[in-house]
Amino acid sequence: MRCHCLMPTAQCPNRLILRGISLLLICFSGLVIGTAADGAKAVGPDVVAQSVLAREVAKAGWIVFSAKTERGDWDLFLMRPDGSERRKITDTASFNEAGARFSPDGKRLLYYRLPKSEAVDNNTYGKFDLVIANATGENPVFYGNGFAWASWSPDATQLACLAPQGIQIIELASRKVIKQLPRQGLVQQLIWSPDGQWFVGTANGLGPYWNIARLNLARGELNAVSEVDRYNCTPDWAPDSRRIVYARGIIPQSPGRAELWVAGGDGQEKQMMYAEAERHIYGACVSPDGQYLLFTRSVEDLGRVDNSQTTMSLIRWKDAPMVGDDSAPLRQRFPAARRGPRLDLGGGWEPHWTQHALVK
Amino acid sequence: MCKQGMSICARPAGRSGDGSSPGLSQFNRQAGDGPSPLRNMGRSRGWAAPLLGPTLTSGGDGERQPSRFQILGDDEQGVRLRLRLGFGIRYPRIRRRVVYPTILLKYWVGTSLAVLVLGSCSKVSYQPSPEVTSLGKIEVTARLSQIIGEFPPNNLYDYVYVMKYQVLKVHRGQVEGQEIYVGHYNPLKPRAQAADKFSGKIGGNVYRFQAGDVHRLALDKPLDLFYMGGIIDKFFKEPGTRYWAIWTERSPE
Repeated sequence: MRCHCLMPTAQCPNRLILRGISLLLICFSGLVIGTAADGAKAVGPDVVAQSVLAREVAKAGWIVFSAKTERGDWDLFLMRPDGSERRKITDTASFNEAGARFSPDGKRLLYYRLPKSEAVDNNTYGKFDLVIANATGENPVFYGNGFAWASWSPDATQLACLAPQGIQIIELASRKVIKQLPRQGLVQQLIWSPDGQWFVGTANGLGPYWNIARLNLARGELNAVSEVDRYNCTPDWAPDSRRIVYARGIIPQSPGRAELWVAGGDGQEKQMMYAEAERHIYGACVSPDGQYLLFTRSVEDLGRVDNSQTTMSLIRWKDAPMVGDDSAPLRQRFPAARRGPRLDLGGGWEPHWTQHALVK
Repeated sequence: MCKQGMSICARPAGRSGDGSSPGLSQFNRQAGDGPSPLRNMGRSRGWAAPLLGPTLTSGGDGERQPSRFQILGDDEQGVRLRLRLGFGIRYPRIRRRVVYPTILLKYWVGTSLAVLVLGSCSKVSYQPSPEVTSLGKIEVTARLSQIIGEFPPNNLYDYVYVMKYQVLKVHRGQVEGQEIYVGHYNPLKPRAQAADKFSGKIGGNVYRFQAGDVHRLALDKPLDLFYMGGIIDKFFKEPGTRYWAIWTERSPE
């Protein structure tokens, strides 16, 4: 737009306005470019980058998670991956609901129900009563005790559960054990791989502490996935059934925080994906398309979730490795790590992601 | 020697012809001397004599002194004192005898002898509980020979901690070798308080675990079959069965 009046620029209001707008546009462009060019230098929330990330994931399915209500109990909630459309799907004042996972077809949910008096705990929630409901939480069917750490089969017709005697494959329709194989030390957080050929879980016996192990169903062979000189837990599969994400924990009586790592199923190619100096990172979940990482950030270490100030966050897989704060020691360990963007999704614990539309 | 217990009496000098002793001059009274200088002290109802003996200082002003002796009164037969032994037991008073050093000496000797006798009797009188003799499939007496590292606190998670034992005697079942590895649930807790919904029935009278102690143990195996949770096993490179401790008692060797 051009002003054709004969007044000097300093006196022409149109030209002054145009000049002001031009200056604002230049400054804004510089801010965007500067942020995109080197994320590691960004300090504080990067609102623009977060907004872009939020728009990417807004319609990419649904996330189910547990959160503490005003009553003090833990209920299940659904939300969009950008944190919108958050709503409660269980409402049980006398019980806590925990450990929800969508079936691979996105039609149902399994979760655990425990008395409100029981602590909600990373290491014990799967030992309580199993419930299977629609993906929206309706029509819950109570399965009860005896289905510890249940995981969906790829076709959602069976469950794999941990029992003292071994890993039990249970037919959902009849609730009968159709196959059993030795646990070989697997004790919690069992997850069936998307291709149906492997189990991953937290296991004893690979080192002095509990670690991540992968078990081949056909051959019955167990191998360590994580390092074995420290605590490791809360594993999950990437959609390709080749990589496993997990919480790389601490060495007891040593300082440090749990970090989000990925490794090949054979324990090779370990890589840090996300870490923070002031937060423990647990509950990693890969998006169904493998493009994003969903996890929890806790001020206090888990175990017991109460009072841990646990929130959920999401990053792009391709933006990893990422260090979420300005910790000098972490920057020294991971000099190539990016600073963001990280999309914060509010309070919640043990989230799980489905790409399917919800069906009642 | 006091006949009625651990009490002190001040014996007026001269009555037995043994003369007075330093510090007891206040008791060297003759008939007609008037009220005992301790009278006022007794009336103060306080502990009037110093700890180490019936050596009383000025008694005329009723000054109270911290003491293990209480003056009950005085009469022509002497001063009546009561010894308080510091734990609330009062013994009947005895008149006319100054036997403090002898009585206390005999008291401590007697107590020490009683402790020794009771301690030795405990070895003879130990009876294993019904639980340790019946629970599980294996029962042993074993010395806790090694604990590696420190027990983590229980504020974040429950766990089993594996410890090494030297088997001294097998009472029931069979074990592999003379050294066994036993997993104890939440070892920071006394055995009587350790059981919960995740452990099942466990217990005993062991309050804390320290190397060198001898335990009588009711066990079962393998550990993994009885506890499905986190296990800390710093002997993980050592082969051998891991046993699950059901009942753990202190035992004489």
